[in-house]
Amino acid sequence: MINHAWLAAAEKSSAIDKFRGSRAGTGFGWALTFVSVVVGWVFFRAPNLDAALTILGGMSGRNGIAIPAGRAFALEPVQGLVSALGIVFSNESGSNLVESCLWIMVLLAIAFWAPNTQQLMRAYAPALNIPGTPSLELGDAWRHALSRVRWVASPGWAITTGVLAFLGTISIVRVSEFLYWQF
Amino acid sequence: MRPLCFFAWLGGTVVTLVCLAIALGVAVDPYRMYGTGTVPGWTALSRGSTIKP
Repeated sequence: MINHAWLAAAEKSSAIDKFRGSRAGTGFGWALTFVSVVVGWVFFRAPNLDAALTILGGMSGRNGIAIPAGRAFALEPVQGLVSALGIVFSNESGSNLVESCLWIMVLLAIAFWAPNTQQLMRAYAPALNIPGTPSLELGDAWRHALSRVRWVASPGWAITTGVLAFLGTISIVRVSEFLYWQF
Repeated sequence: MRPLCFFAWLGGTVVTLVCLAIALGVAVDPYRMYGTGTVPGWTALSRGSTIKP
């Protein structure tokens, strides 16, 4: 829906259309899509509308920002800015914060830059008119490197697939609530 | 590469990893299910275990 609204706005306004085709416009479109999906996930996962709005309020900083006290030393050089922003320190686990940040960085890198299944399988025409380049604007070196990642029937891909199948199977024991019961 | 060969590599990988996981479970024996002796500093009874050592 947001995509259609964005395209409709570009059709009506030449300025928006010009912006959409620029590098900044591409970045804006990417950011708009990403934020829309993240906000959509909150409604998808929350038990009701009030809970979803509460979570969105927390995500947007309405309840303030708290950082584990154990990591306070890392912010000492910018203590003035920390105070000005109203950031407080809590007794939460600092290692959890670091672990979460590392997970987010790794998973974001995979989500943004790793080729998707259509791109991996493009040598075998998995769909009509599939784009051959990664979704995000990248430097030529990165683009060239990622464009070479494609599935072929080889021992390397067989082992990789086997490792992923194994990891996926042993991860089944983790608790993950069934989300679709609300629909 | 023939399809059978590809699936042989894939299946061999899964079977190898399963065997390694089983071997690790027996070696560590966190629930004292196999009677494997503990190695001080390396293996111990799992905290969640209700089985007495």
